[in-house]
Amino acid sequence: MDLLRVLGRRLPAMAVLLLLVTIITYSLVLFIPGDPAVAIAGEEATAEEIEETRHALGLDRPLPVQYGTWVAGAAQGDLGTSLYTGEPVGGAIADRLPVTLSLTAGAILVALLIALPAGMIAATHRGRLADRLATIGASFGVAAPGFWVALMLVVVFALWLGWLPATGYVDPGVSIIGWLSHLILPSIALGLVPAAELTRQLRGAMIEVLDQDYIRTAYAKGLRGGAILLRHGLKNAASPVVTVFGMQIAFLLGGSLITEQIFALPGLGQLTVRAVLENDLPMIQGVVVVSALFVLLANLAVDLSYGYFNPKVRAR
Amino acid sequence: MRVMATAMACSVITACGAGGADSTDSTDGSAAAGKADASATVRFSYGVGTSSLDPHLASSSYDVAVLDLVYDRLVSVNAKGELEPSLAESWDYAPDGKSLTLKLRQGVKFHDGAPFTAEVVKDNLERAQNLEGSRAAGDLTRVKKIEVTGEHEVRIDFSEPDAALVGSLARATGMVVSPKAFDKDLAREEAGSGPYTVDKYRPNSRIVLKRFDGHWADNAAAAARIIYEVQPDDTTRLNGLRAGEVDLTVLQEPQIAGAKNAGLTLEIKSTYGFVHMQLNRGRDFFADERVRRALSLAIDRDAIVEGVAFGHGTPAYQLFPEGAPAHDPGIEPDSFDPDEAKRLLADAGHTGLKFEAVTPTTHQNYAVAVQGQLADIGVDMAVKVVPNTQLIDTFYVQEKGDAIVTPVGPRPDPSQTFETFFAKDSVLNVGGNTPPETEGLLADARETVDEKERIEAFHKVSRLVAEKTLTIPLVHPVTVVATTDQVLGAQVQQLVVPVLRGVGLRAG
Repeated sequence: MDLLRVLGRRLPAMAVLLLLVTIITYSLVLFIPGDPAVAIAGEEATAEEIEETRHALGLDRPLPVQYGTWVAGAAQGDLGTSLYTGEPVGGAIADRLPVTLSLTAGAILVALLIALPAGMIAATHRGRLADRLATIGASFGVAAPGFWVALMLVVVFALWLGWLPATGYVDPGVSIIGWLSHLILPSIALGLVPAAELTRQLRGAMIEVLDQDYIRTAYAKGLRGGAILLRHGLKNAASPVVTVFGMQIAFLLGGSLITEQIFALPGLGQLTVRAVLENDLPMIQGVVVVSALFVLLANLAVDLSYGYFNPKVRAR
Repeated sequence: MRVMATAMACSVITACGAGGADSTDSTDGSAAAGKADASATVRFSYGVGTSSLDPHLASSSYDVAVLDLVYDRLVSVNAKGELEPSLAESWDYAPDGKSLTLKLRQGVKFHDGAPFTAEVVKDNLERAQNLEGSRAAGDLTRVKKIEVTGEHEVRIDFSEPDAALVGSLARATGMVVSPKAFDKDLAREEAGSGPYTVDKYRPNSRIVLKRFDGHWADNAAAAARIIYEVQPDDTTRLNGLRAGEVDLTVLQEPQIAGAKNAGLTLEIKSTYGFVHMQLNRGRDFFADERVRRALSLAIDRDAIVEGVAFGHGTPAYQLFPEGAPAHDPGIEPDSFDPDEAKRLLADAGHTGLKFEAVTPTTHQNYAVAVQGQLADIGVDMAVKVVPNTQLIDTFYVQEKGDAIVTPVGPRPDPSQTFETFFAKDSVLNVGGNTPPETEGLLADARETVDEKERIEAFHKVSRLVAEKTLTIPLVHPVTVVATTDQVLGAQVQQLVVPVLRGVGLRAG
């Protein structure tokens, strides 16, 4: 089957890429200032105690040895333990991943809900008011600093109007309504930039497509406007848009850090910030690997989707 | 001279109230009028969590905010910074100061059912000394032997007198772990006897605590549950409080006006903590006390309080503020005198001095203010901002940077603060180069068991630090405790670390 053949080629390439990412991450440690053993040992540790701590954590072994041990463990699914709290890295990430994924999914949803209509309307009303508004809106979305938008949303909708919560996260298992209401503002805050980018891309791609001969043919055949727009227009405009979408995934992962901080969402963001500031190498490595995997999978999905949108370039 | 912890000899160093002191928190001045709802949940948001649930591995004073809820200590500290009985109902030093006898509380049980006995105290102190990676061992270096001398009595023998030990027992060092748990890894699992047990624990993120009904103190668990959220961002914590998602948190000075406007209840008090500019005395220019004194004279501390702390806090000329036992009222504060500062610098041959100061992200405003004031006397101080977690390594271990502008958290015993910064082998005594009389004075303060004489010894150290400008204290900042109007029992702590025992929500 085509799909299996594609996967058979892509998955090993992804594995190699992941390995490369981990090597680079480990090497970065050489450039980040700070010695985790000192901070872990605490403010009143003597030089001896710092050395003891360093040894207990295995930080006095040569870097290639530390890396080798980590990879061996990771291959079996053990991502090591945090230098600071001793908690298993895999467990810490698994705990927080659902929050970040919920936020990312919410942001994607917001982006699509805004970009699809806005892009299409702008394309079909080119040059007119709706197009201008969409373009200005998109420019604003790209230019406005994410954290400022987030804080404005909190001030207006949570503190002044009291419609939505300002901070916190509720597990969907505990309350679906709570889970949704806590995700609305953060998703909007995070989704605005992708929404803006996608709107512009979609507008451009659709304008090009709508100019094509086959669209005029479809109208001539008597197909209704809506069907033309969706079945012929959107589907053919999708490829460049989906490409940009794939690039936005990486942005979403990074942007979620700040959004999580502002909205007090216990996701990967807080974990990552702390791990980096503390030089908690196993945790950094774990988060980087998971994030890289996520981005690789998202891009694989994007690549496979080309086959659906445009049979001529079905991946072989 | 026997020092007895009785109601008569009550002082601010050793506590009073032998026996009968069931409450572990003081009830003065708190908004505790009114009864607490026994089934309420208090949601507390704070900037730091704890790295381990094992008290003997706790590496920061702030870990006590969590650990105090699930563990009991031998000695506790009240909001005024005074030591109080806890698991130890009273303590006596021998006249020569070479041993300390603790009389222990009865009827205490651990969460896992094990009973609290004198044997347990001995085992715990030995655990604190010997556990691999123990952070508490540093407090117990003078402890030679611990002996069970009665059913509820323990005697600690010292190699040299240690008047600071009682204070150490008020830190995580003095927390007792259940004997049934000695073989367990307690990094993420607690084994205490405190008023709460851990229901859910996500390190550095969130801890859910449930009341332990068998606790010996009547009102230590005023709330049925406490949810402790770790939220390093000040603005996010304030927003959570304003939106009613959080009941209690600690804020910074710039947020006071906003919090007041939002109708929140604030308690704002200066504490024993201080912000100082510590100089690496190993640098040749800082080895000269004239240069150090010149810098101190060039700093307008009132302006810093006004400009950086929005008028909150008090200028600091000694490590300890007025009211603290180690504060020496006889020390003349260095008045703000830039001309004298310039003269001293010229005398020392260091006009136009250039150096670099590091500072944590949280306190860069203090560093920048000092930078501006030093520029007025022709001194060029560069400011380098370093993340809090890398501060110790950068300035104290690698000795990058010539000075540091940083806050210092208070400790239960003044000797602990003095020795941290001025004792010969201390990592934080960066650059060394202390005057020859320092070791002797520090030893006196550590070993004098008689209260009055010990206070005198503290004053002598304070005087030495001030006269030789061994460090440059700047400000005693305030701690801001912000709550909704439903919260009872929350108070600013002189020792800064928040205390959640006795904190609850209003009933009805």
